[in-house]
Amino acid sequence: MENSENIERLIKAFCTDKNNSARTTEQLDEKILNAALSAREEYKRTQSAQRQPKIWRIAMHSKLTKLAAAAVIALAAIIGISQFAGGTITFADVIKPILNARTVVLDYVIGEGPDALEMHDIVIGSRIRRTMSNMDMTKILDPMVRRTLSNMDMTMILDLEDARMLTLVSLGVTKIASYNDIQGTGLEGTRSVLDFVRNVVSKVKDNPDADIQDLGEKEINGQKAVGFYVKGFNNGLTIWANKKTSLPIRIEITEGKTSTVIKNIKFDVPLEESLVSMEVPAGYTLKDIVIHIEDTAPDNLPEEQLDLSNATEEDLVESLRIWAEIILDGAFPDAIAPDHFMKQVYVLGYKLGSLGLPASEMEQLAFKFSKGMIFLQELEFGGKWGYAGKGVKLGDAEKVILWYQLPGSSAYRAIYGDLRVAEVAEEDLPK
Amino acid sequence: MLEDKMLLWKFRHGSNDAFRHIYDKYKNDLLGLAIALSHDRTAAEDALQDVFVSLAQRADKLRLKTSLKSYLSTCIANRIRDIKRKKSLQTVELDEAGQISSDGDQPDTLVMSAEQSAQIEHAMAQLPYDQREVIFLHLHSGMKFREIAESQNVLLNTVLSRYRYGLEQLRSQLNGKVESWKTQRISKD
Repeated sequence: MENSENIERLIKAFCTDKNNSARTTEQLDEKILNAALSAREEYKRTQSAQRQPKIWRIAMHSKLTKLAAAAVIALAAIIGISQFAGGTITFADVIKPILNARTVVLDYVIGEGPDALEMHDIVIGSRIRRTMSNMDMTKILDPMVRRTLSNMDMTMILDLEDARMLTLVSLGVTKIASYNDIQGTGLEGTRSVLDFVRNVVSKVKDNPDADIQDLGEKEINGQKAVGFYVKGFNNGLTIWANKKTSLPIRIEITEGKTSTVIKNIKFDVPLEESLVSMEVPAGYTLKDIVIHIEDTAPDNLPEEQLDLSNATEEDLVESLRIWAEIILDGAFPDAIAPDHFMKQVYVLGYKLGSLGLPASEMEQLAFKFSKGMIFLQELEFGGKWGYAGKGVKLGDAEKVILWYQLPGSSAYRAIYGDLRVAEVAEEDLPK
Repeated sequence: MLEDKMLLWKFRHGSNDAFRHIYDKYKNDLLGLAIALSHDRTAAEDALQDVFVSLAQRADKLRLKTSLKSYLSTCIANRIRDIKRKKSLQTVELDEAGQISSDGDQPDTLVMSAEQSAQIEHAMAQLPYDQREVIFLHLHSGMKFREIAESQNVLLNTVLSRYRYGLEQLRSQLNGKVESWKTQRISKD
């Protein structure tokens, strides 16, 4: 009688022999690879055609760190929300490092002007270490709040492979870490701006009809640079590359009303893997913070966990009310582009906390604030909107602070300083 | 595993070379597994194609919890299971198994004799498919029992039982035959 070990050895030997004899042929290889890569192209085309503005449903269970993490996701979603149509490739050398580099260090500036928000990414493979700087604190009147927020540091480690994010918030002696699941549609929204550029470039390089313009030469930071501009639906991408090395040195993205500039770019620099470790560092306390995004959110969300999908005009009004009433002490903001929203989320989180509101109420307000921005973002796809709230006080019934036109609609809707909404004629809109 | 993750990552970012690398790395192992499970070279090639087409389409959404090899082996097993289900075949007819075992093989590369190989193939063909699948995923593809259980969505004990019963049956069928075999490689093992 054979024992089990012998049988196992026998079967292993049998498998080895079978493996040695199981060889694909060149014709089979060619057939399979052609089928697979064609399927890939078809899949990408289909995805591209079907992609819609992302709809977010975020459920959260905490305070400041959650708000910050949610803001990062929301902002990333807003930035990466649309896509480009495509182009020919006369700039192959320029895009090569963008597509192939394993490690990249870059800074990107969201918005314009000296107070524009800066994000700093260290990309190693599929992980990103992200920090932010230049948070605008000038609108915060309370000096203590301003000082406290100025001392807050937040770092996010994004693992795109496993769809997780580790958020590290340091506020004085308080150090909090949290893990967030970023699977589903949220994953794409949290990718780096580099990925966004890669996606655009990938689409462009295989599309003979892409609209690529040669911008000629100019000097950037003492370097001679050549530029290319790629135009897409509702957005544009400019790449400036060093004339000698072909390495991109500045990339500019315009997306609806938001502009982003990527600079200080370094490709394939040696970096410590520990920079993107998903382990909680010593000194940090791990808190249970959960963010669900639509694909993965459970169906039976408790009522108090708000749904960010199907944003409406009412949500926009609520968002503006929160902005004026809570964040800016009775005044409307100077602008409401995504970078402004991003900055104010921190302030909102801190102010709500200092008001001593119950956590559930804080969450409700944070969601309402975010949802209005989603409504605006969705208008970028075929609709129109304009903002004129700079200098307007809450309650001013005479002044239009924001107007919009829904896609396919001929009517214009205006929101006034007292937050009433009415239809207006085009000629009555603020210039 | 890290190399595979990097290859997948590169593929997602537009590198078809990375995909070709993955294909070249695993194609023969997977084809061997598919043939072993199906006893049908044509079905095995179809399964191999289906699995790589699926990988190419789903690469963006793929979140590997095990090694890529284990993942692909599981896909092959599932695909062969589907093919067999469609054909409503519980076991392969012995004549067919014997015929297919020599189809497309290269006898001069075999360490085992054709007779020994045929006898094992014959014995394997007698096993219920569930048992054969577990045995091949473990001994051919090197998957852990827990990985197999998770990939098939069954209890670990179920997998272990299938494996144990499968080996018992093989032992029973091959009883006495092995001793008479003088395959050098087996004796060295």
